Amino acid sequence: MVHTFGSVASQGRGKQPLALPGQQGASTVLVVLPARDEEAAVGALVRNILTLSMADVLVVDDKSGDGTAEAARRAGARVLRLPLHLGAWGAMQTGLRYALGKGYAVVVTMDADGQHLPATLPMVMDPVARGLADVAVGSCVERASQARRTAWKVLRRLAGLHISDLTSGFRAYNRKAMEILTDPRATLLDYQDVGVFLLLKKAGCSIVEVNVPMQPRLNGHSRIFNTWGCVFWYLLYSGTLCLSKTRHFSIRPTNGWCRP
Amino acid sequence: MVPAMSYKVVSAVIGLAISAVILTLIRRDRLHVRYALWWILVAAATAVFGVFPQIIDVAAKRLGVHYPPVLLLVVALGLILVKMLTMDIDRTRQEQRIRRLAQELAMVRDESTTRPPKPSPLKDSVGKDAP
Repeated sequence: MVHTFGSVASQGRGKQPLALPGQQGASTVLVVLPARDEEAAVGALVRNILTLSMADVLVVDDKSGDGTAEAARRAGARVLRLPLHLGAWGAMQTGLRYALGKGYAVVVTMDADGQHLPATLPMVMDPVARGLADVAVGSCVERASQARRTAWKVLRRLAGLHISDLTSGFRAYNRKAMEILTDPRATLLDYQDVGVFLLLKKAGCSIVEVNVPMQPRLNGHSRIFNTWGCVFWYLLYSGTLCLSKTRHFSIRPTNGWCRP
Repeated sequence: MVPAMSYKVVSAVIGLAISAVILTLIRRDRLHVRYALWWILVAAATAVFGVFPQIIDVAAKRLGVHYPPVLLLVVALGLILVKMLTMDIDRTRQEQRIRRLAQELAMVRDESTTRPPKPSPLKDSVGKDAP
């Protein structure tokens, strides 16, 4: 499968290098897979992505206890191993920082558990690669359980966001979005959803949603929507975030307090 | 009378003991200077109020507080809350730094352990396999 990224190159305000010389494959797209204890699924996923697309693959190993890093490396991915457990968003941000530093034009993030299908990668990547949006979200509302739907509805209201699948980890970002999300302020987020979207929205990023089919999780389960207790905590967390970050309530400027 | 006497002694002993402990800890470098400043003030305050508890009575009368100990408690509680708040702010800042460092460490580790293909700018990359 061949993708053309010419439009991104011309769109990108002409200040960033597209790929470093000597970069593996010199691709302009990096697929970031944050993985924690995904030894069983990650190898096949990496191989699929590498055969189906021209993208480079980076697995960010969130301090797994199993052989995730080895499996990913054997399959041909580049692997970053975190020394501490940072959670899905922490791992993802590591990937974004890496991509920004290495000069990739587009980053696509996917879950390493096999929920997101490599075949649908071009669908999510395209709007960003062609310069139609800064961020694309691969969403699949059908997969949502009752708990998840309830949570989304509340959060959409609170945050004033119009994204139907808030928690999807299947996303594409361009360099503008990467720059915003690699900021130290984004480091304090614990989840990849509301806080991330609020930051993007505040910075004036355009976000599109792409409907894609998804696989039910092969093994493991959502760490957020595990029990109603978790859902409650998650809503409390995200609700607080919404109240402190949405425009009506924010106290500006935000930089005075924390010395860098 | 005895009761008045003992109350003053107890108060002075407690105040001086607390300030002595704090000052000892500071002198032993258990506290960063940034925090030591705050604690020196606390030590001084406990010593002064311990030895001269009547200061509180006078201050309470001036401020129209009928029951002087309440003034002390309210002010102390307020200061404790402020201190806790600043502690959490500080912890947040440290958490942020730790996370950034962890991310950077992961990237630096990658630089120094990658296989030959591209000549690494790091001199000491011996091409070892990752742990």
